[in-house]
Amino acid sequence: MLVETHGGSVNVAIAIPTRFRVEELAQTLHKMPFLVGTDTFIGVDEREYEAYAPVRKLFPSLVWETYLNEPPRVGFCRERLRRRIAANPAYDYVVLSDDIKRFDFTTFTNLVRCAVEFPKQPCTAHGFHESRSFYGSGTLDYPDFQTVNGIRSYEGNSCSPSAVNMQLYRTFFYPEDVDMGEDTYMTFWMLEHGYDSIRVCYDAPYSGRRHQPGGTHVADPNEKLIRAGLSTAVLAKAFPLFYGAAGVTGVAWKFVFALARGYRFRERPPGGSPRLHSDILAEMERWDGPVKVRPKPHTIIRRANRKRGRRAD
Amino acid sequence: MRIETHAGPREVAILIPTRQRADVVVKQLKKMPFLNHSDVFYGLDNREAKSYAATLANAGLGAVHCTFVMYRNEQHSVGFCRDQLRLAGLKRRPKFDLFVVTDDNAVFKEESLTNLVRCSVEYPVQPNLTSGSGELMRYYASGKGGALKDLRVINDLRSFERVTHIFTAVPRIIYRRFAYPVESLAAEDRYRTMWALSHGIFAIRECLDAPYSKPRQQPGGTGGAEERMRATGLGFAKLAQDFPVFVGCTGSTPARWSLIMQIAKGYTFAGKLPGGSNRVSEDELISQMVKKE
Repeated sequence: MLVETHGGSVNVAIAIPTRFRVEELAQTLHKMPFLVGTDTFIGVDEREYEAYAPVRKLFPSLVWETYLNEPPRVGFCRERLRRRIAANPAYDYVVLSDDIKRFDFTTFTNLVRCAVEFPKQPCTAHGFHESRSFYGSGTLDYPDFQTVNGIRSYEGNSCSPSAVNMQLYRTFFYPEDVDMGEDTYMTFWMLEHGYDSIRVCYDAPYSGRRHQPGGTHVADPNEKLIRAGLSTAVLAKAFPLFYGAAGVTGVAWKFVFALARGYRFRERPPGGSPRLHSDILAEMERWDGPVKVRPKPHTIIRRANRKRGRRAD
Repeated sequence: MRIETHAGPREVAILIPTRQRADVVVKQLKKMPFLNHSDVFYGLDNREAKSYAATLANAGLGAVHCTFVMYRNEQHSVGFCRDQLRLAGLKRRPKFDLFVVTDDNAVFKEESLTNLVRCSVEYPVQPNLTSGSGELMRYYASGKGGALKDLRVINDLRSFERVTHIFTAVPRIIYRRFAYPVESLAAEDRYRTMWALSHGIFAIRECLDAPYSKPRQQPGGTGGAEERMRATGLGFAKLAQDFPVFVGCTGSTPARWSLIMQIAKGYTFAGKLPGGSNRVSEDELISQMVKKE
């Protein structure tokens, strides 16, 4: 899709992975008709391809990329889409989005313009989540806030939608074994390779509700913790310097104690949304269901007592 | 060394890994002569043995009775050192009831050691992980910082629920079953706490009557700022891999993006890393950073 910028037009591809969200994807495309075209690549597991037939019928011009994603990993989907798009030399930029992210055409063009027109190149531009205006409150107190050709942006990281230069997108690989944080991985990769022009475009607002059914969502919020933890392991191993910068004091011991004592998050774990940890802690409930990760409490002590009965320690 | 408690005498070993800090060990032994005991185990890389022997011989300490555990620590892994000390402590006969795990630059009084051991042994919930109290918590305890969680006084020893790591009493029952991850270059103490929590040991206490002090990030030990950061990151990865629920409970991303951006731009920490007693604002931390040459 050609997008007009101050430096001329650029050819942009759009990458959207989807999973168990037929209706949501149809609604998203209905609301954002500018995405419907041959430059929009939809990634879907081949076992779900038939289920998405209504979407294909409604929007026949979309390009579909199918793969066998077992076990389901978002990093794998993103990588398959990346390979498909990167193989096409016609594209200058790619906009990475989700099946539930909603934004208008102005946001789309502003996002691409921000990435193209920002003086320090190559630049990656992220959208500005509506909930972030809560922090801004009009004061615009952000690091390195700049206005370039009327597009306001500040230095920072966010998740999709993101406009990424194809030069970077072609040389980068997604880790296929992560189920969360693949966007963070990409930012870390860029920073480690010296591409530190990463902006959040204030004029590219988008909305997108977190923890929706489908996608990477799992019904059990504690399953999500395991995924987040394992993804963190991949990221921290790959970029130890960035994780070490924050120190291990980032471990939320209050939650760790509560989880170890058999409590669980009722709805969704913390992270992302601006909620007070004390509020989340108060919401946690006793978990009587099957324990998956946590070993049985006091096993060690019982085993020790049994042994002590037979031989002196 | 034998320490009297209300529950009877306990045999206690003190386990201290050290690296490139022979002079600090000399200072430690001068300040705390009760550590010059065969039940105090110092762990060091065998390539440093000569330099340590020379420094200790010339320090005027007289006969050094401590036990030195030698190993080859190629990766400078703290987890490896701690595990070697753990194994050496477990092998010794007669058996130790309790292991006090500390650092080569931690300073505490004999009374503090006794109180730590007593607090660990006399606390009603067994087994437990009891740690000494740093300066920050003693400030809180003076009533300026609000209420302490689950503060209890057992036989005149005050303790409350909190995770700290520098001067910790570990009962034999825990040390026999737990093993430090060798690949954990740092954060092995957090690993121990998470392991305990995942095995149903929730009595993690800090004893206010067992004070210690410790200068942070002295030369030697884990290394310079960058080496520490890398080691901490890899240690964090090991924690996340083995305890994904505990680490994942705050999402998959570290929140300190402004620090990360600065590091990516070629800056590094001039002195202390964030965390521990260096809990200052991000802006202040960034102002402390220096451009790498």
